[in-house]
Amino acid sequence: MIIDTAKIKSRDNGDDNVIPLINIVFLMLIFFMVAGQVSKSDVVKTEPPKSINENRLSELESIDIIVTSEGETYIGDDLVKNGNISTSIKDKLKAYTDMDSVSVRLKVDADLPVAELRSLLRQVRDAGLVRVSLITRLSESAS
Amino acid sequence: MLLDLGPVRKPARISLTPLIDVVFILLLFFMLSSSFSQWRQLDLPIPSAAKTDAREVNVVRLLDNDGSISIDDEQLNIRSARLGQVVAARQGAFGIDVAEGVNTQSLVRLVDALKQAGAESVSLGGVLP
Repeated sequence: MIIDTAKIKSRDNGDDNVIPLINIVFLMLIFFMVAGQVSKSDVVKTEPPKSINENRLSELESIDIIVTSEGETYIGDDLVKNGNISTSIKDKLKAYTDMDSVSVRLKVDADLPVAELRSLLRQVRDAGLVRVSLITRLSESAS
Repeated sequence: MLLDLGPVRKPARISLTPLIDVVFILLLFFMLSSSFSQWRQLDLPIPSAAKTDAREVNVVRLLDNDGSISIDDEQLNIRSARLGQVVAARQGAFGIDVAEGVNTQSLVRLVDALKQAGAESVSLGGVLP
């Protein structure tokens, strides 16, 4: 009887073939863990305007207002009717004690007409807030 | 005296398959949940009504989404090289005003272009309420 010893050996060390795969998978895992940022995603998807501006997001407490290109406005996770923005901001402000440290961050879609941005800013000012910033995406050139 | 210890047991090999399963699940989680977008913020200080700016303001009117602007009745494009000369020839701040139908991306692009052309102070006087 002829016993094929090579076959038996390869069955014993079946895991050896997967080790390079595990190496790669581990490397990818470490890459995504270190380089990616796990953060809460927004209620709606928006494409903020691109800019060469390099100011990082401030760590101050802020109220986030998201506006889609269709003009739907969300404060945090809640959909707000267009005329009610200042009332909604005032409601949100009740949770904050120090009014001066609160800022408003506008995440508006790049396609939003400036006229709508202007009306939004007017309502933010009516709510009594003056620290307003626009969120932009970093781009290499002013394209 | 000889002790009967039974057959010699080989140490059991730990199978790698469950490990790979877990690592794959972790990999999928991090791949799907991590984001690489780099957010930046552009401050838009809202001027209070009482505050008046004594400096001269050059009004830059953004005419359309292609980047046509007019500064003191002079028309040019934000991509043209002449913008640098036009900006350098003027003192004071630049106040941006926008025409109907212009979108936010064009406004931000104009702010960037003015900053790159050397404008020290750019205000959104015509945009902010």
